[in-house]
Amino acid sequence: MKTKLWILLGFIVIVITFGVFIDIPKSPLAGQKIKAALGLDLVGGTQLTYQADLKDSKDKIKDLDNLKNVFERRINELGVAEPNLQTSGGDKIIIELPGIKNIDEAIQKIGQTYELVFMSEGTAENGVQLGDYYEQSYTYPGYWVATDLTGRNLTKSDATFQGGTKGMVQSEPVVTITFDNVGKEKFQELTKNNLNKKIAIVLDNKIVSAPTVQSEISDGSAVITGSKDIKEAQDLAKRLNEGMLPVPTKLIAQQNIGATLGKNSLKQSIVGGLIGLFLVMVFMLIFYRLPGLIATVALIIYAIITLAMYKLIPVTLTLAGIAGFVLSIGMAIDANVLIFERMKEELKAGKELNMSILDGFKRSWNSIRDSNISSIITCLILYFVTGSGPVRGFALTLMLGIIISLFTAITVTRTVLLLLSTSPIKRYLHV
Amino acid sequence: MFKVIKNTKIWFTVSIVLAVASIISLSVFGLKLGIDYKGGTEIQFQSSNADRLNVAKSTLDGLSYNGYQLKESGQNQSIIRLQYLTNEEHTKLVDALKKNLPDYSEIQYDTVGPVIGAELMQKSLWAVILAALGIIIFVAFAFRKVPKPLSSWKFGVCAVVALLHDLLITAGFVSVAGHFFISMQVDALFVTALLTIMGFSVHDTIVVYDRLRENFIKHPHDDIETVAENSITQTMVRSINTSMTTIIVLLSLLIFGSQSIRHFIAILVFGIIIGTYSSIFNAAPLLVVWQKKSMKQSA
Repeated sequence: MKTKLWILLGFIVIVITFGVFIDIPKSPLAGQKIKAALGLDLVGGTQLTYQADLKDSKDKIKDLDNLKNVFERRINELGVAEPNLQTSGGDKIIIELPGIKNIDEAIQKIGQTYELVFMSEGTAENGVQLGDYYEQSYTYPGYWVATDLTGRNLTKSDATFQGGTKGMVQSEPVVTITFDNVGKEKFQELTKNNLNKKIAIVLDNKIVSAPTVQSEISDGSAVITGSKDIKEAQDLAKRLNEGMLPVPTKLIAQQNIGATLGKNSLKQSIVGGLIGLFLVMVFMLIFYRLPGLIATVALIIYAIITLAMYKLIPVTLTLAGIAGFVLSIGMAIDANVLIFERMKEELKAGKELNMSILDGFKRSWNSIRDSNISSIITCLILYFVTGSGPVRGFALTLMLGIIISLFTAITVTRTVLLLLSTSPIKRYLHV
Repeated sequence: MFKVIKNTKIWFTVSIVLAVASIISLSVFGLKLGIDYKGGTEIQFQSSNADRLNVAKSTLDGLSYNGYQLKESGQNQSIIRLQYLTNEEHTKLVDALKKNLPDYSEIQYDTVGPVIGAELMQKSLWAVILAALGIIIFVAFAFRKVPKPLSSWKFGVCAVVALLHDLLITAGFVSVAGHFFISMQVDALFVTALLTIMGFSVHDTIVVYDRLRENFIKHPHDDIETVAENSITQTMVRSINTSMTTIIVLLSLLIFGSQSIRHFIAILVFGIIIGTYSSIFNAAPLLVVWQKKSMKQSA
């Protein structure tokens, strides 16, 4: 019995040590990767919700995923510190940009589309005249008709050099583009039908280049020449890559939170939480004295473990999440209240201290278990059914709190109480 | 200790009065839907101009917006509520406001398209229905071994009646508060608060029911009134103390915490107080009344 208790105590001490090591900022144990993440409502920033129009999409999941990748690339160019993108509801992408200053620029950059179309030669009746992509004032000779080969069939574009191997002094910078399977067939068809004629590569209604087709191309790639230097080729490749928004999208919700508001909210929540924690400790000390003190120690251990779990999982803390954590402090102590009240009864019934502690834990276990399960049920439903940001944060922190508190309020308190019950200070354990 | 079961009529009267008042308030004042449900825009801005509400009003009128709402929300701060805005419309509005209020600064801007609101509303309704069902099933399961002549589903139903009572009165409170305070709205956090109150209300009721079950097994020949009275007396302190610890932390968040979620915390505090009341004064008495009725019928 006694040895088992000491082993348990050793285990608890190890858990606490690990917890403390993870909790301290810039922890050597946790390394750089593990750090507490704060939600937008605590640091300030912008949340944008885009809805994709997927009615023409054949593979909705893949298209949405592609869209997310495109957004990600564009956001990386904005230089936002820690952007967060997630898909939601099958057709939406939620973008969080913490600490961003120029929101308008971000929205424009994220949502813009460059329309890339391949055009074939036409006549004055069925075609249009187009300007040059590089020289705004120059109008290309001839008339052009749009084909069904567009940027949607593009998978990537790269800037490279061509011709350097043929012994020429200067090689020519070009942009190679690669089509997907549909695009490959369309391009083969297009080159077959337009042998010895021109095909124009048109971006934003301006002709980038209009080479003459020399042979049918079946390998699904094309080369765009005409760039002045490698810088220009690289710019073009980048624009083509960026321009590939796989599906039409619309901004359907936006939330901006000022940085000051976030900072104040964080400060106030921490102060509120600490005062609450302190008051609960005072309450427990007044009502249950030494056992109450042990419960407050268990509560501190609870806070240490919970914060470590937030870092490990990791949990992004929002205002609602902090509320969930604070609420779980109140609930964590519940189990101790139930146990101590039961101990009181057992002592009143004339049992030995040691027996009273054991029975107090044993007999209150049923109601502790059942009541916590009912809270976990509602947390699970909140997390999986409603699924919106703040609600999820709240449900997650509350549920984590309930589970961890079962360990601290029961295992920790029980071990310490039982070890003390054979020590000289045992007479103070009477609740 | 004062008697609970003996005075059942008093507690039921209190509950019925509160419930009726809630229904009246809900049908007269209704619930103020937040923008995350009905779609729309909420702008919280700061300006030292004492006349900022009127300036904002004329700016909005100048851009021919209608159906907007304007309210003070703190020192030098106001809230504008209006329809959903696109990014261009928002930029235009901010430019116009800045022209008329030079020190205008936006603290929080939130706009939601109608699609999202409808979707969230649907999800929230599902959450409430599933949670209620989950709790009935769980309580019936947890109390599956209650001794005769009690039945476990009576425990489940009574726990849920107590819970619905808590939710109704909490909704009534939100409707009254929403009538007088602009920030008290029905949003995603309101539903979260309701579900949390649900979990907590059952939490407390289970403690009482657990004791009732234990006493029934110990004293199978006592009548249900005595057993229930003893059970409530024995568990009263812990019911109050477990709620007290939770209310203490919530009150400290309410007073010192962030203003952004103050309405959420206020709903939680109110709901938990009502939940504690109903688990002591309604849950067990309800079971006793029902049990006595069905026993009379079978006798």
